Amino acid sequence: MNNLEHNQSASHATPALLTYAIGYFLSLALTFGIFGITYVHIQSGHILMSHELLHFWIVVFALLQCVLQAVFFLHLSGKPGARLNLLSFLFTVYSVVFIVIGSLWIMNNLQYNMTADEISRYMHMQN
Amino acid sequence: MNESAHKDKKDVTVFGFWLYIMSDCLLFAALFATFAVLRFSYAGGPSADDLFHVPYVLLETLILLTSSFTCGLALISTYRNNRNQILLWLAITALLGMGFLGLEINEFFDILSISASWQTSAFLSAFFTLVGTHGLHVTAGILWMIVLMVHIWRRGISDTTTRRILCLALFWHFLDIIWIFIFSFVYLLPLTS
Repeated sequence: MNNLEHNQSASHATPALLTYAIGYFLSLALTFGIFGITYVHIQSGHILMSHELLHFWIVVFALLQCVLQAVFFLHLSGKPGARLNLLSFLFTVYSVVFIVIGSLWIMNNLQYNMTADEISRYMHMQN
Repeated sequence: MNESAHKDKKDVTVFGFWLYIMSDCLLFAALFATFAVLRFSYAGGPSADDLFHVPYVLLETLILLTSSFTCGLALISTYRNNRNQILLWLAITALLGMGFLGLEINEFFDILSISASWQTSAFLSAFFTLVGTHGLHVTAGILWMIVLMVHIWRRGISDTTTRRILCLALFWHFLDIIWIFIFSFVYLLPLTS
C-alpha cells in the first residue's frame, strides 16, 4: 500500500538529463518545423498547399508539442504512481475541448442566424 | 517527522499544485475560446496581419522553450543536492523569463504606438487579455523564482525547498505549453487565411 501512495506525483521519479535534452531538442524541431512550413507557404504566395491543409498541420504540430512536453517535461505517464495526475489531466483536456469547440460552434451558429438577411426574414415572419 | 511522512507531505502538496495548474488550464481555455470567437472582429481596426511579426514571436518562443529546459536542469540539480547549481540554473531561467517578458512588453508598446489598444476592437481586447494573462503568469513565476533563490541562498536546501522547486518546475513547464498554443493559434493561424 505504501508503494502505491508513495509515488503519487508525476514528477516524483528522479528526472534524467537525457529526458529533458530529448524533450528540448524535439520541441525545437517542432517549433522550427511549423514556423518553416508557414513561412515558406507565405513567401511562395500561398501556393504551397491549401489553407485547410496548413491549418490542419498547425493544429497537429501544436497538439504534438503539447503531448511531447507533457511526457518529457511534466513526466506524465500511465505508471501506477502518476495515474491520478494523468486522470486529472485527461479530464482537463476533455473540459477544454468542450469549452473551445462548444463556444466556436454556438457563436458561429449565432452569427450565421444574425445576418441582415436572416433578421429581415424573421421580421417579415413576425408581421 | 519520519521519512515516509515527509514523502507523503511532498506528494500531497505537489498533487494539489498539479490540480491548481489543471484549473488554470480551464481559465486559459475560456480565454482561448473567447479569442477564437472574436478573431475576425476587427471593427475597422488593425488586423492580425498588420500587427504580428512572426520571426519576432519565434524568438520569444525559443527563449521560453530554452527557459523551460533550464528549469528542468534546476530540478535535476535539486535531486543532486547541488545548491550552487540550483541557484545558477534558476537564475538563468529567471533571466530568460525576463527576456521573454521584455520582448512581450515591447510588442505591446509597438501595438499601442500605432494607436491601437484593447479598446480598439473585440479582437484586440481578446488578444491583450489572453497574451496578457500569460504574461502575468510569467511575471508571477519570475517573482517566485527570485524569492526561492534568496531562500536557498540564505538557508540552503531542505525538503521544503525541494517541494517548492518541484511545484515551480511544473508551473513553468505549464506556461511553456500554454505559450505553444498562443504561438500556434494566435500568431501562426491568422497569417494563413
